Amino acid sequence: MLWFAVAGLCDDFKVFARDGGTNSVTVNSNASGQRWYESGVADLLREHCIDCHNPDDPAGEIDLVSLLDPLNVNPDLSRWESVLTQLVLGEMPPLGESQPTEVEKGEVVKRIQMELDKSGRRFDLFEKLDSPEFGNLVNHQKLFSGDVLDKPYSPARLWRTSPKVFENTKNRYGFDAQALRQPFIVDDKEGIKDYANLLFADSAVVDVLLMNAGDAADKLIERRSELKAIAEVEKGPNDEPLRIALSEHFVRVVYRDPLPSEMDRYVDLFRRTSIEAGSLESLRLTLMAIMLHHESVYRIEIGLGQIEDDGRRMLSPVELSFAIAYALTDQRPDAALLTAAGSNQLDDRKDVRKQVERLLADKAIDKPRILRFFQEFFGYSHAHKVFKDEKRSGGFSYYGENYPEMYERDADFFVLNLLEQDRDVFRQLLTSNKYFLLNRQTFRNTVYDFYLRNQQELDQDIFPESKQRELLDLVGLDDWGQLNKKYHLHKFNRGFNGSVRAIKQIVKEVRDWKNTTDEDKLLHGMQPLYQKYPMVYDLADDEQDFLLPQPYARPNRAGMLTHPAWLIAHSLNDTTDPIRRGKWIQERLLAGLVPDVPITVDATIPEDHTKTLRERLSGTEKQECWRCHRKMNPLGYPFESYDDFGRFRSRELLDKLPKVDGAFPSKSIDSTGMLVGTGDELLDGEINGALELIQQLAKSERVRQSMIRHVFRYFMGRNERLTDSATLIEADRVYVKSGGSFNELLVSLLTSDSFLYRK
Amino acid sequence: MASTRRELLKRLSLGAGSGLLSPFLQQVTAQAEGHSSKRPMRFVFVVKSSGIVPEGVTPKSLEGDDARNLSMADIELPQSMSALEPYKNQLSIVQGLSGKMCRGGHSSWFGAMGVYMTGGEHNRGAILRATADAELARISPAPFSHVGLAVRGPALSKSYGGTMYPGITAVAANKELPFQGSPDLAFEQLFGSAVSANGKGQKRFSIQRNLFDFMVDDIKKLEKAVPVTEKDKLDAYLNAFEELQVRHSRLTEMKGSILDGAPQFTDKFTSEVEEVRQEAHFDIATAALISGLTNCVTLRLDNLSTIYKNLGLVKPNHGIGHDESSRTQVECRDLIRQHHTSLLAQMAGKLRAVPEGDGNMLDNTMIIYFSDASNKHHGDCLEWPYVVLGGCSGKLNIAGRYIRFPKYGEQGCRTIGNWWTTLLNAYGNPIAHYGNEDLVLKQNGVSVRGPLDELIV
Repeated sequence: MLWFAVAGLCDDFKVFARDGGTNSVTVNSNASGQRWYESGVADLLREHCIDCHNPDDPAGEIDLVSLLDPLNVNPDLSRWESVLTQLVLGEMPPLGESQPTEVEKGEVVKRIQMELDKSGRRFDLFEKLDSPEFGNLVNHQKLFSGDVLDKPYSPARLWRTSPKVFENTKNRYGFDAQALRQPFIVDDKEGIKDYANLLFADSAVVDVLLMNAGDAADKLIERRSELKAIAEVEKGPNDEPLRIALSEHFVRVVYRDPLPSEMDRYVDLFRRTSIEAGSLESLRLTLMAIMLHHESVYRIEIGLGQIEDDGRRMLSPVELSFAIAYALTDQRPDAALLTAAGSNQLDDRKDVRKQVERLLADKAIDKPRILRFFQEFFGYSHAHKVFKDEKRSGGFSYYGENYPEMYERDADFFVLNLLEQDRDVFRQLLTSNKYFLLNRQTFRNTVYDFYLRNQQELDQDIFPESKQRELLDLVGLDDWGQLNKKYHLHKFNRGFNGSVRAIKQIVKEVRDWKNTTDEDKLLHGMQPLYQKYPMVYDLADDEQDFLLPQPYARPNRAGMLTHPAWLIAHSLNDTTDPIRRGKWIQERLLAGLVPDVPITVDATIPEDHTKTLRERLSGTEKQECWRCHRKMNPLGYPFESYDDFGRFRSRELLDKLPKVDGAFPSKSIDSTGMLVGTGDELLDGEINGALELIQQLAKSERVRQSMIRHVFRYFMGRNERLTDSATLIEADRVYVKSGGSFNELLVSLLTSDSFLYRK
Repeated sequence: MASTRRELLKRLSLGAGSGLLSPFLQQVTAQAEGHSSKRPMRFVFVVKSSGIVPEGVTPKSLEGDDARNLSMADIELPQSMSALEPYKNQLSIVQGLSGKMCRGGHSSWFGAMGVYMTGGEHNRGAILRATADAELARISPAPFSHVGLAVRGPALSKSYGGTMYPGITAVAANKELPFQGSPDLAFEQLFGSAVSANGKGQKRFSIQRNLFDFMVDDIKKLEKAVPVTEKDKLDAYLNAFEELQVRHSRLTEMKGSILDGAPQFTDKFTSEVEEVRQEAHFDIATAALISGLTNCVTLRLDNLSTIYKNLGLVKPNHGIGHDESSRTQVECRDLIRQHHTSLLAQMAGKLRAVPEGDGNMLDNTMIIYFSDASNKHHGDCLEWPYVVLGGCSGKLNIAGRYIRFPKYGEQGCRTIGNWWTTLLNAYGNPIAHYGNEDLVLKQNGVSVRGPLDELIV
């Protein structure tokens, strides 16, 4: 039995529900158009807008005088939408001008929106504001200005169980849990995926849950003696064994003690059903009902802790224990978190810091969510979805091991290495040219090398502890238990335990699989199946060396944006993709916005086999296109120095033209660009090539802050709002002060008001 | 049967109280009375392993590479397909379509009906989108929107019985359709509301209502306590159980038609003989269509571990594909095809016996027989043969015809992307092009997006 029962959770909900759980301002929906308008909208326009937006010299060529008539008199809906957008995003009035109070602004926003709703016009700004791809709608400058004084909080919320948490906890459902299917599918799109407000447990989820619950219940009854005994009592079991059995199952699945009222309901369900169908079927059904409990579907973050004067509620110790665990580990809270929650040691920010620091410091605790952030942020783990023609590449392979998946794992290694150093992490991610190549082959060759150097002793089974330690150091492990966390080995090698026998098995495989007796190839080369694997790192077949000290510096590269996995993930099937690469940089690194493609635009690239892709894209430089494309193309063009397989190049092959003298014609790459209006003056100007662009980006304060905004989104499971300003400014300060420590950044965010409070 | 069904459906619609239920029943009733302007649309996808070798399904008189589109009225079918002779006027053989955008080898996995490259030898790979069978199922709703039945699981697996995921059908990105591998369980799940082998299914079905009611009540209680802004999330969970309540009611009300349509439960449904299990799955699929329980079935007929012992074969399909059998691969394939086509013919016969509107149920059904390994044991996807049976609800110009598209790379060649687009368009999904394009054809300027217009009525 768990001792930290959340008894009274539902009662607390009721208290919460009574005051609405929102900050909403009561609006008289019967008020006439004139009355709503008179009560503040016109005043706000007069006081804060009309001075600049008047017909004499309208700022931005926007004249708002016409809006001094009420909306129902002047149905200029587009202009009203524009006013509403500017107000919500805090874009207007501009910084430095007198500002309406948040209450005034909130009131006016509500009123304008209500009138727009009445007009039947769909206004989707609020939906967009909740969606990861529109996170940048919140003004960056204002967010980091220090002018926003609101105290941060997250909305009270239900957050659907993550697929990874389900994978890690499904064995609590019963036996043969590996056969249970994943109910909590998350769309595998680019970017941050697990957003609390976007994921629902709908009928698709319930179908799978039901099937899982039925299968699990069958096996439980079959194999657990106490359940089998209940099922076999035809006239119905006594209350006590039934309650104990159901309660135990509840604790396993829902991870808390059931309330007495909950237990009464389950017993009632059992009794009613058993009259119809007997004990066996009734028990099966009741176990299923427990497995479908809403708390195993949604985690609940209402804020059941202390209430502040301003209405914010702190998460309760139990809520905090789950929030901290799920933020970092994909697991339910561990014993230390539960103990802290149950003994008044998870009551305030200091307590939370202690737990977060403990989890981060303990290497034995898996924290897969940290690497996943970088996978989702950079999007490099989509490389395997962009199919490349094997023939065109000269050897790119999808047979056996899938090359792009292997490049993705190389990229994981690149990130993990920098996180281990935990210094200047963002800049290093953007600029380090030290890569890891095919770790499984490097692992094998290292073991082979170790064997050759110690063959005499090993063949006599002499393997002292100091030597065992040496092997561990060589492959960068503290113990063999870490092996499969660090390396993605061939399935034959995943059980490697450092024994002499295991070493000799690898030696045998190296010799058998490489199909050669040439010792140099055995030591430095790789299996024929992966012969072409290193080409994306600009390594020719005869340059292969897989006994390299890793990481391995590569020329013409800088950081993740020139890593083959990133370049492939952000390419098309048969070409590079400067526009989307530029959009990625604009949105992820520059906190910028690129409008959706207008529906009237035919976004296909004209075919002309005599031109480079950049030349073919010149159509986007027409005035009407350039308004948007200037935000993308100049950022993407420098990466034309790499082909769509990620190989460095100085010329673009025109491979759809006939060959001349056995080779395709080619043209020089133009990787220059001119940056304007990036939001960081130091960045604006001429750019000569990808490496120069990357170095500039890595120095930019805006880029650092933009990355921090994304870290915030991922760990809070939502977009930032202006009210999160204090959290972000502090996170940025801590990151800089700590010399670019990602761990310190995480501690700052996970102890912030945005994380701790709900409203 | 017909008059019973019509009356039953009429009764059903009168008794239907739920708003969710009405449109479906109105549609079915109108169809039963022949008043519907829209003909019913049913789909059966029969997916075999180890490829369909094009020569095996080509009538002898039509051998060759040249493009064709002609009536088969006077053409003799290959001997191994003789069971389909009585249905020749509603039989189509479609050849020459390529699928090079898919992975070749033992299986193209979801690519076969999803038209993209995915998976490895033992890895089903990423699910990019709903496969075409799932898209078609969506067009023609029924209490069970899409039934998956499988004699075997993924191409190279030994999985057998129970819920299986053979890696061929996806209902959405990252979401595979579960298949029932045990005919007896499939029988209970589909017909258990009205009839079952041992009474357990009916009992289980009946008390399910308690579970759904319990969950609805439980979630409603919580709704009062959840922040207004989060109510939608709880509503989604609630609605899912309410939908199940509705389906439960619908199935309860359909008891008569299910009883009429359900096959007799025999030891066929618990047999461990592969050929018998196949027959059992066919029986279940046919009965589910006739009862109106579903309008779409995908049937995974075998995999590479299947051994056709009753046909006198001793090697599994994998061994046959690698010429390990004492008989030639052609002989083995002929035997297997003869068996498969006789199963198809039985299904067609049962559907043809049920009058519907001015014709019969086969007129409004499309049975597609093909392989997830395209054209051979290690499919190279240069060609992907389809054998189609049924009147296809009058949507397609293919009944009774032999159609062969130009060879891969030749002018006028077409892909399975065009094929599935054709089906989707013909049945009412206006998608411009379904699936990925063949990049090599595209580079060479012979790739064409969109449907095969000449096949659409």
